[in-house]
Amino acid sequence: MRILYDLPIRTKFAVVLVPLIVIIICFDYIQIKHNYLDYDDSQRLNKTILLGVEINHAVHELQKERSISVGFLTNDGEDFSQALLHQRHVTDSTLERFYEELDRLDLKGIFAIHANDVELLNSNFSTINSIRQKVDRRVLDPIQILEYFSDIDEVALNTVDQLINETRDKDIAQQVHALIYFLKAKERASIERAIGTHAFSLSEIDDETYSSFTALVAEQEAYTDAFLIIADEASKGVYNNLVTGHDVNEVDRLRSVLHLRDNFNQDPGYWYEMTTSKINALKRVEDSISQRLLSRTEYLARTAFQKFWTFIVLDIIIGILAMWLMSIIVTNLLANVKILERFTIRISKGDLSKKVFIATKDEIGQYAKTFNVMVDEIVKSHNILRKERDKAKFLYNNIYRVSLVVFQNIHQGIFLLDRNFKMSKLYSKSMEKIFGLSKISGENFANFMRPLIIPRDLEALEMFMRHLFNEDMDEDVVNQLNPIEQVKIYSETDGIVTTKYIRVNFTRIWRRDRIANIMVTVSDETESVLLQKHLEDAEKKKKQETEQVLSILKIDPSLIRGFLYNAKRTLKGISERYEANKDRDLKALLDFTFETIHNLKGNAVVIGLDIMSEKFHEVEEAIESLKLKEVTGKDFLTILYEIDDADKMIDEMSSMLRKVADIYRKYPSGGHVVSNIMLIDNLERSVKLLSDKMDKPVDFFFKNESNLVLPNEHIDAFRDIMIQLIRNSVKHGIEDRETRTSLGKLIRGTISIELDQPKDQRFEICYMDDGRGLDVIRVKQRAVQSGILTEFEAEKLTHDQVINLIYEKGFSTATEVDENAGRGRGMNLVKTLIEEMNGTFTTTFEEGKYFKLIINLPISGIVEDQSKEHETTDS
Amino acid sequence: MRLLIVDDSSIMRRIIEKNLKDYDIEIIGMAPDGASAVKIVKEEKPDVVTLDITMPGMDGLACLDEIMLMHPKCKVMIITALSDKLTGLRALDKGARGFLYKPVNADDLAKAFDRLLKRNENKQSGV
Repeated sequence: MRILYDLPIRTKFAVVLVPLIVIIICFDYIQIKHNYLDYDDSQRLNKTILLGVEINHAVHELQKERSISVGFLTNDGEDFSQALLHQRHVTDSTLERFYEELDRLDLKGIFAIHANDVELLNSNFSTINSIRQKVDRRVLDPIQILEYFSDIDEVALNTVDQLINETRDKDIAQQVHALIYFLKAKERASIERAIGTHAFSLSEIDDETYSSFTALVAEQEAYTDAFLIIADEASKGVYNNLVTGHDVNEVDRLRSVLHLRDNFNQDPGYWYEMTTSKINALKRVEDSISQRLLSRTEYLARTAFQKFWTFIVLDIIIGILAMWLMSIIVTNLLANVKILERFTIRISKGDLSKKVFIATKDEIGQYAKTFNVMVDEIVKSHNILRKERDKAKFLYNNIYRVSLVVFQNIHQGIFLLDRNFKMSKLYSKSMEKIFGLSKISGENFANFMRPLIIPRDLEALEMFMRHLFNEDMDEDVVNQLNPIEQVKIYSETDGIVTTKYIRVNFTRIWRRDRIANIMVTVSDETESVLLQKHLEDAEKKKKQETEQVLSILKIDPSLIRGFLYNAKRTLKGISERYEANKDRDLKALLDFTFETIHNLKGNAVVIGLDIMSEKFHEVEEAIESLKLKEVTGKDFLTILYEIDDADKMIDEMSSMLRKVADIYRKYPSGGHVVSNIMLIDNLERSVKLLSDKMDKPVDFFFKNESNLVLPNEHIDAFRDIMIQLIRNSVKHGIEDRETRTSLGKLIRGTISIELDQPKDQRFEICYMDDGRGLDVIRVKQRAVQSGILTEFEAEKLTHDQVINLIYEKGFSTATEVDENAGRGRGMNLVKTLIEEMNGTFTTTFEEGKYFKLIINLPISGIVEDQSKEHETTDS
Repeated sequence: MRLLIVDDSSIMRRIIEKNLKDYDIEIIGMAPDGASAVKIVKEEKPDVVTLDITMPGMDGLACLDEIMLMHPKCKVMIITALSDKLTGLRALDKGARGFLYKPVNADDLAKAFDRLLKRNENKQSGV
């Protein structure tokens, strides 16, 4: 089975079709042979019957001659001599006809089979002449003659029997047998005629002849009966029609006479005549049967012949048709298979240039289409691959040229390092631009970088490159330690030294298990680094400004204004002292500067102006660093620079403060009530801030706040006055916890501000604390110490005059100058501000109990303003 | 894989320990300074040591020298806050195999350890 599966398609077809064709041909051969045999059989039978008919004619004539010869011998040759001569002539002519027929018919085939029979017949026929001579010489008795002739007839009839007794057709065989029976019966009838002729001629019959006669008659009757049984209806009909009538009845009557053996006076001629008539009738029946057999066999031969040829023609047609169909299918199918085969072979050899074309729409046609689609796809992919390959090939072939082009145009610096840290001859054009050089190559990279970077980085770079080329070291680990990942370099272009920031990255290039080169990329990041710095600066400045604004908004403007005014003056004092250069002692000058700045810082802290306190802290730091070493005059430049910076900042704050104040002025929000609340809130916060700072708990009361009606431009002044008074009270007036406890006072101090109902365009403000009041003696001492007046003058001062001392410029009771008080400006500022507003004030106190200041301010401006506002609203 | 953590900050030691919990690493000890680290290395012979550079007494580089002298097969990973590249490169010179900047996060630590151990495997298979 497996072998069948593996056969080529053509062989498979052959295996299926060839046996089929062989079977058809075999079947046809059998059919043709059968028909040919039928034809041959009928043909042969036809010929043998023709020959048999001639033999029968001869037998018929011989039978007559026999009877006549017997009659001639019995009558001593008188009656029958004429008849005998005539009969012999007839017999000879029939024999001649037989021989003619034997020659005429092509009986080679038949003759081969029946040669012996025909030979025997011929030898018997040739004895006829010797028998006749014996008859003429009368040497034989009639019975012997009868026997001679009967023997010849027997042989002849047997020959006929042999000749025709072989046929394949059943019907014909039956009729042939009927004919044979009939011939035998006729022969018996003929012998009967001869014996009867003999007996009637002698008018007696001996016993031997009689017994043979009766046997003969019985045989004749039996053969006739047998004939009638097997003969067909046509033969029977012919027999019944012909063998009847007077002559036949006469033969029966004469036969019964012979049977009786008593009355022989009958004319033998009459017997002969009657029997001959009957035998002639029998002969005609025989001829009829023979004729029908002949026509029958002829018909059969013709039919078989026709069938034979029909089958041959059919065979040829079927064969041609089969061959034609097969050739169409096979050629079509196999041709297509062959085309596909050739096509696939071509593809397997790599030739994809052509397509396969199969016109049929069967499976093979579909395969061909699919094949074409596949081939198209393959060709497409092939083309893509080829293009890629060509590109790769081109790149490979032109890699040097391409790299040159790339290196000319790329914005990064690129070059390779070998294991000796030598820079490659091939490098990108940008290298020259970045490093400001016209030629770079072959140099050791560390040497190349030596003039550009600081020694520490250079040392690191050398170590770094060593580790980069160490295959055992992880590339990422090493790259984390790249010392020139971002580095500042100094390069010279056209004689001008410029600073640049460059980024240098290193990538290993492996060849097998070894690092062959390091690819170095250099990019100029100067612009982005500078931009970054610029952005950071801008950010810082913006933050500073925001803080300035915020701190201004947060803090009482009068406090800031006071602080800024004070700070500016103090800083100016420092500068003036430097310019005067009267201090030879630089160390003392430095200490003085530090203390002054330190105090300013403290003041900034108290009012919550963080940005300024930070700035002063920076100045302090700068001075601090100088304190540690030997100071030179040059060092003061740095301090002056810092102080100048702080001065600038103060100016900025002042201008911003003005801007904020302008905004408040332009857009007054909610009139007095709101500004009052803000004012009181400010004062409360100042009290809180100072009392926390001094660790003196103080309660603050602001009474009758609704009576506060001041022109807007005076609000600030009013606030400044109050804040100065509060600072003075917390710092100097209110005692610390221990002192208050020992004096029996409440630990919590009290500051109150009370406003009177305005009257006569003025209103009164009563400021009071429950502190120690004024120590008259101490005030006098401080005034002398401050250089305001002499000791002598002090002795003569009245109580009120002493009080006025505290409002003098430069007076301060504080023993130490600190950030909260002690600058000798406090009460003088109060006096100045009140006077600026055309106000008056009265100071009262009780030592150890209280300090009280009653301020009387004019409010005329306010009324005017208000009436103006009303007018505007009315109109 | 047996690990010794050397760092003067206890928080740092705990961070490293916590982040390496999911790995197949056995922490055999922690040392707050170079001297005790050297002692542990001498006794325990760990496979991997994470080493800080700035430490009181014997600093990281000196400690690295001692470790390499006693136990040259030890894989040392420097974990430092020092941004000075030269110090890092010196550590590599002395035989450190890994390097990491503080502050470390779990990701960095995992990656650094993967690199350190992979390199180790490669070397073994190469032999």
